[in-house]
Amino acid sequence: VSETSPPAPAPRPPTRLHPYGIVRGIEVAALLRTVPGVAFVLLTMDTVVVVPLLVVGIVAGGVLRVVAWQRHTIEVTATAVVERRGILNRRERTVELARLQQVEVEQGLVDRMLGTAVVRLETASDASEVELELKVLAVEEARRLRASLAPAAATGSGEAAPTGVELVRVPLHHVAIASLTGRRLLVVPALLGAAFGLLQDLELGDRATDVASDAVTRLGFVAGLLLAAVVVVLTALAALVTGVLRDGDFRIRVVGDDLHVRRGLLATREAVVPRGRLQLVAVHHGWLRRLLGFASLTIHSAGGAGGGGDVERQLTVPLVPTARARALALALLPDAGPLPDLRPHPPAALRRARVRGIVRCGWVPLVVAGLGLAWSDRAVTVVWLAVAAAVASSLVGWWLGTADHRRRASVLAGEWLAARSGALVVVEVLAPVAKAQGTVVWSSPLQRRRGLATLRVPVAGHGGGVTVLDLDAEVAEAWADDLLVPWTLSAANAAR
Amino acid sequence: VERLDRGIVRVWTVVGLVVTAPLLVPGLLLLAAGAPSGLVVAAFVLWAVAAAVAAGVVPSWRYRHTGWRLVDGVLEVRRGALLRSHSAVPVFRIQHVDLQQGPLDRWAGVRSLTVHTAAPAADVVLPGLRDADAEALRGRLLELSRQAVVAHGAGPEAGTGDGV
Repeated sequence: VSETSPPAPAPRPPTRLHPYGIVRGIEVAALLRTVPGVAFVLLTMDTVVVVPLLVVGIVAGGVLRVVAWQRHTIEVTATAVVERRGILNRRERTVELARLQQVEVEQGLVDRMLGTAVVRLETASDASEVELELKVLAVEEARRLRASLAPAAATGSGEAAPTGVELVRVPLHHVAIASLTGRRLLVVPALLGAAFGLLQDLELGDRATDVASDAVTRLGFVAGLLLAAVVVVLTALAALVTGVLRDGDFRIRVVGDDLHVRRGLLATREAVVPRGRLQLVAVHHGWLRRLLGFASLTIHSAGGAGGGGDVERQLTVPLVPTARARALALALLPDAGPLPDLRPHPPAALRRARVRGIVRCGWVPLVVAGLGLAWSDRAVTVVWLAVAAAVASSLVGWWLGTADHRRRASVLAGEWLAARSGALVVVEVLAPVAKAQGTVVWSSPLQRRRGLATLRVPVAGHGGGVTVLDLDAEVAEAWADDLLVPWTLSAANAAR
Repeated sequence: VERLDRGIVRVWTVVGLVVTAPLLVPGLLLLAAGAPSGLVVAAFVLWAVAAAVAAGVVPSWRYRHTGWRLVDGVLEVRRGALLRSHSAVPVFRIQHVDLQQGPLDRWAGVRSLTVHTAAPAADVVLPGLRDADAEALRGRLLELSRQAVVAHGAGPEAGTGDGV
């Protein structure tokens, strides 16, 4: 496939990392973990021995790091990046450019002052760790490396304008809204609960010790309320600040065949992802954001386990207006034609959705019964409480299930597989059919009784894939067959 | 549709016996403690029923509900009696193929074959193939996979190399 020979990035001799790497590579956490052990050993010794020992140890550690830095080189050839490191045990690692999934350049605060950056190269290996992490390069070195690595260069559009086309820019006030409506803020109710618990303790305690003093009780109540308010404001503020610092100045540009994702106000991260490697895009409509007219997007590329290592296998666009969300999702993926309308699922799925909703709320009566047992000695009260909670939670579950079914829809047509589901948080997943790694059709006895089945279409990486719950069983089988048609041998031979 | 080797039923029978063995413990304890004989008998009957189901019924049931075929470059596997699954993997998506054989498998003369793709959820396991069949199937899968990669090289995934 190499007819379009890359405009060969000039091979350069092996280079060392930036000297700041000598310090930046030190893992403070690992050092701190050794402190108790070392301290224990040192405390059992005499000062006359300890001081020289410490000095020698620190100097030796420093010298080792310098030598390690000196022996650590990076070479960029026309087809691969070669890393050589190690003092006695020399290790050589080669990362082929053709296998690169993602290139990320990160600049922390200190990095920005010194003009350095950390570069991470990611391939589609099973390992959950980053393939190659370079701590740290001078920033222009990092940019040059990224430019020569970016698969756009390898697929021919080499001298593409470095600016590209801007696809998304999230304004700062949208980032602010995103951080105030995000999952991080879910801690607020928990904190509030804790505050009210404290307040109740105060009240009860006061009553127990000093029944006469009503004023003190009222004071405790006001203090509790104030405390709660302060906690809420502080949490919101913290979420706002961290969110804005992390996601401020969020931009996605299309350069050649790559997406350049940039974010961060003080510490910046820039990831380059080849569009051809994107596996799916999910549009999340959380209930709060939906009320405000916004949604967020996650972009999954093939890569190791999500969450492992420092590279994000999942890129998140913090906030986009709902009206633009789907168009943007389609624009991010390589051109795959228009997306047809999603079709609702068979009515037989409605009952299952309601049952699922009720089962999911099943923990509520249990918790209420537990709390009741802790608070009250009367079994009758507890039973009534539990029954009331069961009725209420069943109604809520019934309603959630109905909402879930109403929103549930999917389609397999042309080059798209798309599925939407969810009651409070509605998630719409779009995946190009060409990314299916296989198909699995599942059915439980209950599903079979109603002629339903679940279709699962995994895509590369640990990001999962598309799961379409409760399709008509025949439709599920037919879709599974259709999905794999392009990859059958007869299709391959026809293409040849 | 092809079936697994009958040997796997023997393996599953032994597994069923092993899994239900802990259920013997209450009976033995009761016996040692000199509990009323009715209780002891009940405990042993409980174990006997569980063992009969796990070692006598389930293996042949599983066997009957497992089947596979390789048609037009797509490996299809059906598994499960209660929770049924029907997986399909195109040979083009195969990353590598594993053969495994535990001591029990060796005793029964079977092997299990795992087809790995780039997505762990799409991986497919065929638990009990006769030794020779397993090797033959692996060879065929890899050969077909090479053909498919050659054929699809100029297909929709051109330019992404490994088809990911």
